Amino acid sequence: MKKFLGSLLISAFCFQSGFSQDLNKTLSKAFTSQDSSDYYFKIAKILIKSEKDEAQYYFCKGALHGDRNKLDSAVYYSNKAVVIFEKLKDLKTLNTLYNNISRTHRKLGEYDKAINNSILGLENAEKNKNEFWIYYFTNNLSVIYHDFENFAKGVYYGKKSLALAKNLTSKEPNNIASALNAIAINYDDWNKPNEALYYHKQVFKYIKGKDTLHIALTYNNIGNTLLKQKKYKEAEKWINTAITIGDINAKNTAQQFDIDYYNKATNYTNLAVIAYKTNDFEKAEAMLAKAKLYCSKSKSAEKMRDYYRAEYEFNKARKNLQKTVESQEQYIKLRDSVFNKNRDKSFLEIEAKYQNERKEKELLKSKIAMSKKELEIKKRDAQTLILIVVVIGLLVITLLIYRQQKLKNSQQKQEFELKEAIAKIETQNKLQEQRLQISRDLHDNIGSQLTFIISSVDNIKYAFEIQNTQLDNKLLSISNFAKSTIIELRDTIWAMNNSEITFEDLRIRIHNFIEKAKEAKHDIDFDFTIEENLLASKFTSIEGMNIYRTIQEGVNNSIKYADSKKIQIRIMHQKSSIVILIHDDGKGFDNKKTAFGNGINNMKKRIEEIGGKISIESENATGTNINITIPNKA
Amino acid sequence: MTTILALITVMFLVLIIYLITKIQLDREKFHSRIKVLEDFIVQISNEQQTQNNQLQLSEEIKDKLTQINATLSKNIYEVNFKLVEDLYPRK
Repeated sequence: MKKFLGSLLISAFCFQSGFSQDLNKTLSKAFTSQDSSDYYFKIAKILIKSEKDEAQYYFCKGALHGDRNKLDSAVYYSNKAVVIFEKLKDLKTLNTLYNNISRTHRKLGEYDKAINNSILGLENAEKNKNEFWIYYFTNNLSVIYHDFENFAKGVYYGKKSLALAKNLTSKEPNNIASALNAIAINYDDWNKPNEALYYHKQVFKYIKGKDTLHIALTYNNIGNTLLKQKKYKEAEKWINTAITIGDINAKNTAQQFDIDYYNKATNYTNLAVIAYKTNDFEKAEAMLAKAKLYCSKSKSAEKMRDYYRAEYEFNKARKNLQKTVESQEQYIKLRDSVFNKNRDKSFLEIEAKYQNERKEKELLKSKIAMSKKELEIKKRDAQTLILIVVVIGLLVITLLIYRQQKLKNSQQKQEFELKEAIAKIETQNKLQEQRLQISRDLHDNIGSQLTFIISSVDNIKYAFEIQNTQLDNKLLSISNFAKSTIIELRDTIWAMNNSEITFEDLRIRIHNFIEKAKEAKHDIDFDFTIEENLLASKFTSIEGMNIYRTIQEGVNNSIKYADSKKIQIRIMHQKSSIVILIHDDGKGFDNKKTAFGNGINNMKKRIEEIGGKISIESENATGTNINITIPNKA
Repeated sequence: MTTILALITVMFLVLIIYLITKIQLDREKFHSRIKVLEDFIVQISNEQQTQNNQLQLSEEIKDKLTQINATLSKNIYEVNFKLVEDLYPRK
């Protein structure tokens, strides 16, 4: 502990590279010099150039006064240093400073102030995130609470500091031992010797061999616990070991520190107690004398209190009433100065303040953690949502690609089928074209052949002056037949060579036919009318030819069989149909009794072929009406 | 992460829109191509129909010619018969 504190002071001493070398050297001399400290401090004061220098100056002065047991001055200078270091926000040095002040107050028995400074140090270390100082101040709190006889809190902080010591990066065994010791002494004075011994002996798990020279206090404390269990001999043995270790350490070090006096004061007080408890009053008196010496040297109020209690009990055992009363008064006076109620209240206030701040910090931390968590959840939700969108997007894209491929395939198939159909139709068309070409050639030849027959027959008639009337008639019949055949064939070939036929075309043909009929039958009056708006109506060649042939057949029948004077042909439109009326004023026939020949049957067949209807109405001596209705496609 | 995923989402959306547009365009292109083919089929079907009509009329002529042939053959035979009778009267 001593080494540690020494190193702390020295490291703090050289902590700032910004300090001037001269000031550093001077302060170092002031700190180490036994007699000329004041002189060097005066020089150092002259060398102060900045706030940092000033802070460092007060820091060293406070530390030195603390070491030299000028406790009030130590507190005064250290507090001055604290103000400047806080202003400079030098958190690192503030840790050491708060510890120094706390330590000084503890020595003075001002436990409320000691606690306050330890808590300030703890807060500073937490702000600084310095794990060692967090442990150190927690351990300090445990010890101070012990001194103040608030053992429950002492144990609480002790256990906390033990956990912190175990978690330290350095894992220094001395730190663990200090924490164990703090817990143990609290249990010890709390009258829980078993727990105290348990924690005391735990120390030996971490400190072994030569290192046990640093834990003289533990030996003493074990002795103290055993003393309370009235195991005096055993206790004496442990305390003597502690004294021996203390002596060895004293030999090895040039300078004696407060802590050494403090330990010795404890040892001798305990030995004095053992002595008078075993009725060795002489030894007890000697031990008490030594204890008093070390107590006054250590300047520890706590030790003085313990000493007066031991002295009072010793005098009581010796039945020295006057001395008993004196010691008791001293003890009570000291105890009351240290443990008054106001201080206890102040303790609680400081503690409550610290705990509140701590809770607020934890609350803030948990709030931050919660908001972080919420943010993370939101982020995760957003990510999940986006992932879902991505998956859906992928599915949609896959579906679209699949559909596109399927569509492409079906389109290709459809296109292929269409092209195949086109090729098939084209082939058929070519074949039909060839057939048509052949038939056209044939028809052309037939026309010329028939003309040749007509001219041959006519030539025979005129060249040979045929007397045989029968033969002459026969030849005439052949010539007429050939002529009519040519006309008939010409009509059909004309229709065949036209893809479309209009009523205008048909009108010309029908007029030609009527003219020819008029030549044959002069006495018949023909009346052919067609509505002008029907002239543009178009039909296929078959349809046109069927209409033409039907009209032709109807008129021919009237000429041949009706013996009529007038034949009327009317073509008109009626709603969505075209109506063709053929009327003659001939002798007519009985519909029921007359069987129709091929001519009328052909007429019916032709009209039905083009989707029309034909009705023939006739009565004897009233003429005949042929009514043809065909759909109007225009 | 979120930005990357959002970017991917936007990319997907763009891709989806592109694919839908492409499908639509392909469909329209196909329809226009098919329309041409269909029109062509209608045209050649009409031609075929016309040719069928012409062939039907040709068949009609053929039937007529058969009749004409028969009639003319009969008439010529009769003329020849009469001529032979006149030239070589029966004894």
